[in-house]
This record gives sequence, C-alpha cells and structure tokens, in this order.
Amino acid sequence: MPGKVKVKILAGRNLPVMDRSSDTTDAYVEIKLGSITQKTDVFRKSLNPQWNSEWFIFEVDDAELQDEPLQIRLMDYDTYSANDAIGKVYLDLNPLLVTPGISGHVLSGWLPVYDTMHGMRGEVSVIVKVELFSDVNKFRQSSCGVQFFSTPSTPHGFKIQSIQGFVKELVVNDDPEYQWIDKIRTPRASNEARQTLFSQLSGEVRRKIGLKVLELGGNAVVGYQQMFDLEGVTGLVVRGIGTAVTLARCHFDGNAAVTWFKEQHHGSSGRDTAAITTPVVVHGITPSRPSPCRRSSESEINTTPKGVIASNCRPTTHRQTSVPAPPTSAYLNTDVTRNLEVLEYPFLTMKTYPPGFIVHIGGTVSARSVKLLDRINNSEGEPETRDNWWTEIRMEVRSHARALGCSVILGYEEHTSISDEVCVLSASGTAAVVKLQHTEVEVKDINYHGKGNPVNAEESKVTLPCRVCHIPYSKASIPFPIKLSRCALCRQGKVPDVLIATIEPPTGMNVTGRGCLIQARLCRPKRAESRGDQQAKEVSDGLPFLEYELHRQLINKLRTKGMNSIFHLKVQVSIGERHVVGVATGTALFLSALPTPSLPTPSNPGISSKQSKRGRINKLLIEAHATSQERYGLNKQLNKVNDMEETKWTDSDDTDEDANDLDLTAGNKDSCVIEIDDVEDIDVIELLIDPETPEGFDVVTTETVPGLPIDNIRRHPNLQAFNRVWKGKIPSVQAARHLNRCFEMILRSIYFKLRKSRPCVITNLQFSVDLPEDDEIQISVLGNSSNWIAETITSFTKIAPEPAPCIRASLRGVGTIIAIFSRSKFDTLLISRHILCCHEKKERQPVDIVTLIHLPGSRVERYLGHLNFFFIRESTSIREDGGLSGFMQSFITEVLGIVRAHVSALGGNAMVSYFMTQCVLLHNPHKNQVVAFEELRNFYESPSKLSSFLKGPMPHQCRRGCCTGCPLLYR
Amino acid sequence: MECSVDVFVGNSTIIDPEIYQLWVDGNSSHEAADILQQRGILQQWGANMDLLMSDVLDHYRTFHMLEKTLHTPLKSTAAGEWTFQMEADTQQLLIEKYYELDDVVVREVLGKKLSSRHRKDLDEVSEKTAISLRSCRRQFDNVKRIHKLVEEMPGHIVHNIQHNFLLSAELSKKYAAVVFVAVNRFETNKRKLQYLNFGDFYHCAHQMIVHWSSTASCHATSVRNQLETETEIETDLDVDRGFLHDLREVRILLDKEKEHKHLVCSQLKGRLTDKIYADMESSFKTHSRSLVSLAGNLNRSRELRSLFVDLVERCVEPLRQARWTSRDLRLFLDYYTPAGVQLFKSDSATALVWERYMKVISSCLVKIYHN
Repeated sequence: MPGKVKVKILAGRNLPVMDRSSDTTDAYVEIKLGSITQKTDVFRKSLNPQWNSEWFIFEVDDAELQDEPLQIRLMDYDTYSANDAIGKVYLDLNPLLVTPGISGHVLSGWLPVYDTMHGMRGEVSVIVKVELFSDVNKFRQSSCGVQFFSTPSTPHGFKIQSIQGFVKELVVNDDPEYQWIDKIRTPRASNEARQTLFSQLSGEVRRKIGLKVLELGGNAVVGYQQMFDLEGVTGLVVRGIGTAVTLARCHFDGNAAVTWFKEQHHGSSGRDTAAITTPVVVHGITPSRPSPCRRSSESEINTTPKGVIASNCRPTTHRQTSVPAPPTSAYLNTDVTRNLEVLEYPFLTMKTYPPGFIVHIGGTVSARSVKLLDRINNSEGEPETRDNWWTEIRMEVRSHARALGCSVILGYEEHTSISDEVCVLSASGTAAVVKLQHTEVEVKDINYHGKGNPVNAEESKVTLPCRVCHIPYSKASIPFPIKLSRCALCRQGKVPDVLIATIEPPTGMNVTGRGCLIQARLCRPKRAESRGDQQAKEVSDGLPFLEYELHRQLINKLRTKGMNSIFHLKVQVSIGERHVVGVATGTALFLSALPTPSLPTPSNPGISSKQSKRGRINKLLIEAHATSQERYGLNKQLNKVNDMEETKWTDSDDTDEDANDLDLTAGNKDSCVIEIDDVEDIDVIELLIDPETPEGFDVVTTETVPGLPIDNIRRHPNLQAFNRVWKGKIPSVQAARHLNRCFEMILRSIYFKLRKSRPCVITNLQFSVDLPEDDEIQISVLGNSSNWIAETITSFTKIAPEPAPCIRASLRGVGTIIAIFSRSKFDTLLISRHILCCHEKKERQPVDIVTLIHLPGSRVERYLGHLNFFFIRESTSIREDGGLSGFMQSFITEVLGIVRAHVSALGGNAMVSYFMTQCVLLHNPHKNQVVAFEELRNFYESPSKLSSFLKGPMPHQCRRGCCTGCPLLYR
Repeated sequence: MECSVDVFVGNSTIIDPEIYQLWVDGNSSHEAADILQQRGILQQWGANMDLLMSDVLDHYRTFHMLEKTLHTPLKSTAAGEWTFQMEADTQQLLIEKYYELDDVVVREVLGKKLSSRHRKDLDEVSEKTAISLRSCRRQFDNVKRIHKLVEEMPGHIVHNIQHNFLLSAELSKKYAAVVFVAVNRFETNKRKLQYLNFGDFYHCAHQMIVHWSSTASCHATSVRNQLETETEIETDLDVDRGFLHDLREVRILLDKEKEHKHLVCSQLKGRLTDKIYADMESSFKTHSRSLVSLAGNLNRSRELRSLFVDLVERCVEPLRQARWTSRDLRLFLDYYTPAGVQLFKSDSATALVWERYMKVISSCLVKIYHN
C-alpha cells in the first residue's frame, strides 16, 4: 500500500560561499526518496536562497517509507563544470508514520545541512507531510504504527497491558567502505554511501521487528536496542533487540505523573505494602518444582563455581535442541497475556519494571562467545551464521537463568567487540522470577491459581518488600557454593551475601544510605602476532580469567565500601591488538535485607612474614571502609544489622581460595591468576581503594541515586547530556595500573568540569572502552548530572558545609538537572530517543537531551517517535581544526546540534534515552603525502527491530574459537 | 597523561566566565592555566594541573568554535543557531565580553585608518599599553567589523550597533564614538593631542552626535534643514552640513565684540579671582575670536577635521598658560554663551545656531581642559 510524502523546500540560510569569484552560491535542492529524485530551481547568487517551492510529491510503498530516509541534498549550480555538493539532510520518516490517529503528521523547520567533509554548512527550511493509507493485509511487508521506545521502562503516560516477549532481528550487508568501488570514488561519495546504507539498514531492521511485533499481537517495542557491528571486510551486521508489548495510554494529570515518577524511582521504604497488594502469582518455574530444562543446563553450571566457568567448557548440542518444557502453571494462563516462560527466549530488555512485577532476583547471568570472522566473500548472504551465533548464546543465558531457578531474564543486553577477525559476543541479563500483574488478566489468574496451586498460597505469604532479595531457588539445589543467611528484615527468607543485577533497583526495596559508583577494570595483554584461530583461541582461553578477576575486584571493592549489592551492572569486554580490557561498572548499594559485608583482609600466603605490610594494608582498607560508611550514610542502620554478626564470614579468604580452586580445575599454565607477591599485593589493594568522589557529587549508573529522596531533585535550566571522549596510549608495562589511572583521571576530570554546578548528581553514567590501535585506548563516558537543593536534604547533614560561594551558585540553579553523556572511541553513535513535547511551542525553545528515561521535573506530553542518526565526518585539515581533539569536539557539538534541530522540527522540545552507540575515530597521519591528516568518524544512531533472518550478502564462515558459557554468574 | 583526544561536550554549552575572560584577554591556554593555578583553583577543587589543563583546553576549543558566531551575533542568535545551546544570559555575557574595549587600546586605534597595515602595527600598541597583542587584535577587528557594518546604515548609530551586535547601551556608545571619529576623520593623533584619553574623545563625540548630527537637526533648527532631511536618509554619523553652513553667520559677533565683552565682564566680575579676571578682561578679544572664527570656518571640512587640534591650540593652551582652572573656564563659558545669544536678539535663528554650537564646544572644552 502506498503512502504519499509531500515535501516543500522553503529557503536556505547561512550557506557557504561556493563560488569564490563572486562570493556567493547558486543553490538548488535535490530531494530523493528511494530511487526517485526531484529538484528545485536554481536560486542564483545568494547565501540565503528563497525557493518557496511547490509541493514535491513522492508516492512510495510503505515498506520503503520505513526503510528509506528522505534525502535532501543542497547543490551549487555550475554552468561549465560539474555541480558541487554543499551538503545533505537525512530525514528519518518513521516519526511521521507512527503517530496513531493523527494523519498527516508534519515536520517543519530549519534543519542543519551536513557535509561529511566540511561539517555543518548552513540550514534549510523544509516542510514534510506524510499521508499513509494503512495496510491491513496480513502478508504486508511494512509495520507502520508500531511504536519504538528505546526507553528501558514503561514509557511515561502509558501502561503495559501485556508483554509479548523478546523480539530480535539481524541484517547483514557489505560495508561500502570495503567495496572495490571505494578505490575509485571520492571520499565524500563513499561516506555518503555509507551514511545512506546505515539509514536504510536501520530502517529495515526496525520494520522487520515491527512486523514480528504485529505478528505477536503487540503494538510497541520498549527497551529497543540497535547495534552495528562493523566487521570490516566481512561486512556489516545490524542487530536489533527489544521487548514487544501492548501499550495503552493511561490518563494522568500532572500530579499523577509526579507520583508515577516517584514510584518508579524512589524506592521509599514506606511503599512496601502498596507494591504487593495482590496475591502473588508466579508463573513458571519455581525452585520447588524443578523442571526438565533446568536440569539440562545444570550439568554445565556445575562446573562453574561462583560464576566462573572453566575455560574449556563448550556448549553441547543438546542444549540448543532442548526446548524448554513449559511449566504446568503456564497452561493455566490462557488469556491475552502470554506467559513469558513459554517463549523461546524469556528475555525482557527493560531495566525498570512496575512495582510488584519482580518477585525474586536470582542474579546476573551472562554468556560470552569468541568467534572468528572468516574472509570468504561469496555474494550469497547468510545471516543464518550470525543468527546461529546469537541463538547459541541466548540459549546459554537462558539455561544459566534456569539453573538459578529463575524463569525470566530482565535487563537483557547484547554486545560485540571486534578486533581484526576475532569477535567476542556477549549477552547478559538478570535472572529473576516475575509476576505478571496486569489488570483483568491478573484477576483471571488468581481464579485459576487460587484453587489448584498450593505453591501460590505458600508464596503469597511472603508479601514483604525484602522478598525481592530472597533466593528463588532452594538451598539444596544450588549448583555452586554460596553463602546464605536469613533475611535481615523478615527473618524468614534466605538471602545471599551479595546480590548483583543488571537492572535498576526495584521499587520498594529497603536501602540503607545511598548508592555510589563501583567499577572494576582489568587489562590483560594479548600476543599481537597470533592470527586467526590461534588468536581466537588465545582470547577465549583468557576470557574466563578476565571475568573472574573482574568479579573478584568488584566484590572486594564492594566490601571495602561496606555495601552488599550492585545494580545496573554493565560488564564490557573489549579486545584490541595487544590487550583485552574488561570494565565492569555498576551502582553499589547497601540493601537492608542482606547481611553486612565484612571487610576484606589481605592474605598473602606466599609471604606471611611481612606482617607490617599486611598491617598497613589492613589499615588502609579499614580507613577506606570507614570513609565510605560515613560518606554514604551506611552506619545509620549498623546497630540494627549487628545482631546478624553471628553469620560472619571471612570473605577475602574465600576469594583467595577460589583463586586456588580455579588454578587446579583449569589446570592452565598461563599466568592469569594474580600472583600475590609484594609489589602486586600493594597494587591489588590500591586497586581496591578508589579515591573518594569529591564532596557534593553523587555518582551512580542508575536512573536516580538510590537512597536519595527524589523530591530534592528539581529541573535545572541547564539540563543536558554531555559526551566525554578520551583517547590515549596504553603502555605495555603495567597496563592494568595505567588503565586504572586513566579511568580515575576521566572521572576526576568530569567532577572538575562540573565543579561549579555542585552539589551535583551524576546518574546513568556509562563507560565504553575501545582499543582501536595497537597501543591506544579510547574511553567514552556517558552520564546525567543534576543539581539538588542543599537545604532540603536532611540525610546529608554530615557533609561538611561547603564554601559559601558554591552554595549560592547551586541555589541559583535551583534543582536543575544537567545530564552529561559522553562516550568516546569507536564510530557508531547510537542515539535512541524519544521526544517529549511539553507545552506550546515558542519561537525557539531550547531542546533538552538526556540519557535518562524521563526528564525529571517535567511531564511527557507526547512521544514523537524514535530517531536514529548516523554521521560520518572526514577531514583533511586536522591541524587547522585544532587537532584531533578540536575535530572531535566540533563533530560532537554539531551532531548534538543536528539532533536538536530535528527534535525541534518534529515539534518536540526534549529527547530522552539518548544514546551514542558507537563512535569510531580513524586517524591516518600519513594516508598519503599530500594529505597531512585524515580522520574519519562515524556516528550511528539507530533504532532497531527484532529478529531473525535477513537477506544480505555476506557469507562468513565462522569458526568457533571457543564459547565460554556463563562466564559470569553473579550471585 | 598522554592522550590524543580529550574532549567533553555537553548538550548545553558550558561556559566558565573566568576562563572566558582569560581567553578574551588574549592569554594562551597555558598562560590561562597558570593564572588559574595561581588563583588557587587547584587547592579549591582538589585537582591537579593535568585536569586543569584539560578543562582549559576544552573551553578554549569551544571559544574558538564560538568565535565565528560571535562575529555576527544577530544572525547567530536570532536565526536560531543550533550548534551551541546556551541560556540567553550566557549568550549576552559572551558577546559583551568579546566586544569589550580597553580604553588605552582604543585611544591608540582612534583616528587611524582601520587597514591591515595598522593591524600589523598593533604590536607597538600592545607594547605601549601592556595589553596582549591578541587582545589588541581582537579589539581592532571588532572596531573594524562594527565600523564596516554601521558606516552606511541610516538611523541612530548607537541603536544600530546595539541592535546588530546585541551589545549593552554603554558599550555600543563606545563603539559609536570610535565610528563617529573615524567617519568624520577627526584628527586625534597630533602630538599636542596626545594628552587626551579615550574618555575625552568619547565625551566630545557624543556631544556632537547628540547636538550636531543631522538627526539632531530635525527638532533643532532651521526650516531649510528640515527640508533637506526629508530627501536625505538620516544618520547621526554626519555633522549636519546645514548647521555648519549657518554657523558662518555667527561671525557677526566679531563686530559686536565690545558689547559682548562688556556683557560677560559685568557678570563675571567678582566671580573669578582677580588675577584670572584681569587676564580674561585683557585677552577677551583673543579668546572670543578663536571661538567665533572656529565656528565660522567649520563648514570647511578640513577645519572640522582639525577641530580638536584647533581647540587645544587656540583655547586650551593660552588659557593654561594664563593658569585658568577648569572651574574658571566653565564659569566663563557659562556667561559667554548667553551673552552671545543676547546679542543675536534680532536674529533668533542665528542665536539658536550659536547656542547649538556653544553647547558642544563648552562641554568639550571643559572636558579636554585637564588641569
């Protein structure tokens, strides 16, 4: 079914001078959609042309509408020679397609004209209208109307009626950068070919995911993530994952919105009863009812003591073939709400859930696999290979979750890291037991279950807020050693000593003190000379050790801080030519339900004589512990927890023992286990003690600071997202130490930068590490920061009074939120976003961009859609642009500017869930002798869709180097 | 720590007024960091030099990018510049500081042709004024840019500058004075004029803009002038030609010198010290003649250009030799002007012209008469 796109080009302004002799430009515009191109007249000799064109009309298929960007290209007319390109505007038409009920949605405004060689070059004023005839043919190719939210939670103003489940899609294509034609075409043509292709692929993935959602009966995708894997010569893979849901608008007024927000984020202890008003209904597997599929995975899990898998554990075929037997209770649930457990992949990509949805959190599960990208180029596409890779890894994650007695995986994410031909695929999530608690469905469930299922009755007794922390499995069936104790709050349930999850802290959890940033960083050397299989093997052999060390570092740091749980954990493993870097970032918390952790004590079996050194280290640790207690208000409830002391254990001894165990079981001669000798011992301790965050800063990776009352955060006029990009050398000696210093430095520079907006809350901090060159590392950080009002904070009285000028400064900006988001290194920038539209449009409103799911202090009027951008910028005059840093800075600035312009043109005034997926910086100081510097950066921003098979040429023969199952199983 | 890329970009551009000021003052990034360090910023925030340097560089790069837009503030802000998002206050601060003028530097630039040749000589200016060369260049370029744009623009110059460059009224007036002096090519750099500072010229220029310019003439003087202004585009950059023409009429005063002297002396007696009174009485003819003949010749453009030189040579210097104080001068002028008006009784038009002339001249004379 066709849709009609109408485009009107009004005017241009501030165009560059294209004709040196007259200092003007003879500009005209080419409008292209799909294969059709139309043109305006030439407006002679003006830098501010007024075309006031007629309507250009494009009649296109709606599938094409979803895939193809509208390309508006400004050209300079030249009588005698070829016309020169001024720049282009790519318009994603999807936001105009999805608004239900409003036909003829309009985009109008000034959009920056962007050229890959020169950056921003003036602006063009356009009006675009789309008239869509909706297609109800069941064989249709399009999926207009399905809304995409990259927000990892229920979008503001909606409620989830039912969850259809995990949707995924994968498309493979050749990368134009590596095609033969690239040798003869200009850099601009090549860049534009890439930009166009990325837009198309991104649209295609989104369309296909939309189709699956419709098939499943849903109407939206939330927690949508889209990734580009730039494999180089072997091509380009675009992946999208998300959660298909049926959304319904809920009516709310301003107050309701505020309440909603508080509920979402403010896990106040007073809310406990409200959260669990309905009897608990648990679908799926509960620990008391072991199911066949859990058993099947258990065998593998057994070999993974405390989350570390032995390096040579390979997935066996039976795992892939084992279809999970749906638990009996699932059949009872016959209504519209699908039972999550019946799905092939019980994955949800959201990070925040409605109160009461999560029953128990099992722990973090993850799987990694190392693959070899083979260079066989036959033109028949086989996305199946890539699909199979991901299928394997998803199965593995699922089996890990089952081993934990959990049926569902929340906050699910997938990532890749590519270096040469080696590719590491990772998937992670939080295993949990959930309850579908939605409206009518709920009522039905209760009726069914009330009689026949004794388990429910049993479970429903546990209506305490601490329930979430209780273990979902029975003690007897734990596949690995773990310490359990009675819940400190209800004294009934069993709780683990440490809880680690990738999701936001669930509503209603009792938190003591406040949360803070916790990060473990690790760098392992890798031999650069090995190639192919050998390299893949080396990487895969090393991965378990890397993960183990990361985990150990994380746990020890956590204990040093005196906390007992980590939320919103993200583990990133990046491989480069010479190094493999692992970074785990999360928010440390003290959950009241869990036991007080004891301080790690240094033990160095080798050199027991060095008592004095031990003493000193011990002292250091104790000091660090005390500071953190003071800083994050942990000691308030200490007395309360003191009576739990009987269940005391010595943690660090454990971890050391584990290390030994690992050595034995793995039988690996590689020196991947840290040898504890004098120097390194100190290193290890140093690594454990992070420098304190300066006063006035609260830094977390979650949406809000757990334990910090939300009321204290008000909207700040400076609300913004920031990008921080850092790239530097990594020395071959003491790489780990150096890496640590880099991260510290980056964090400190952020604090320093924001010094004038203290007191400041930095939330949603995200790190991303890339190793683009032999010895280079690129670190990008993304976060949000907000001011809060000093006076209203009662829990913070311990903070030393700040110098008067600072306080005044912060008061002036009463409660604004500054969102800072920075990310550096690799090229793809993925900004997923929704636009919120508040109030009437003024002549020109500032546009807020945040990485959060919500703009604190304001309410969402309307989501205008999901925008994806992809930018490439190349320059031959780096030195004139102010060096690499200057180039990068102006690039990011321009990208943000373009994003704002598009938001504004769509009638919005903010963008939430902004994300830069990838940022690649290629720098060739000596590309050829004429060009001094060449730099190329790409940013992709894209939304994606679900699913499975895509056409696309790109055969890869991939050999599996190794598949480490469940490298991490955090508990 | 060695690094090749180190940037921080916010959705809203973060501007640190302190660092911006250092940049505007022409400090290099290293100098700026050193200055900040001396101010104790490191101790205050517990940072080290690396962090400070990275922060300063970040700001400097931003300023560098901003500089282009600052050249055309109106276009950049009103037209909705998407590249930088900041609050209106911050924007105003950026523009105002960027266009800030140092009086000592402007004094050097004043009356010179704004050519690239003079731009090259700015290092001398920098040496003389102890303002960094970069800052001098910025000020020079700003003056040149504003001059170029408003030179041909009709209407009130202060308003034009304020509107097109979004500057404060005060700063706009400074630029207006510089442009006024430049457009009328007043001589300001003769050695005798060296003792005058920018404040003096600023005062004089605005007196002329307010009282002598074509726009001032509408409500001031003759019918003929009004007819002229209807056909011509008004600007207050030019001195009203009709007025200068009419000024020739005041030469009549030369003939009525005795009455004039009598009028003045009778009123001043007792108000001035005896010594000054005696001098005034004896040299009234000289003083009066210089003022009147100056008025009579102003319609020649060369005379107009050398107005300041003439005032200093023919009025200020003789009076100074006679050890008049500026109070004496003011008193004298206060009675001298009305006395002249009285003498024009029959010709009210000329009386007005005389008053208009003397209003500016008195004010200027008092201003440039440094004790």
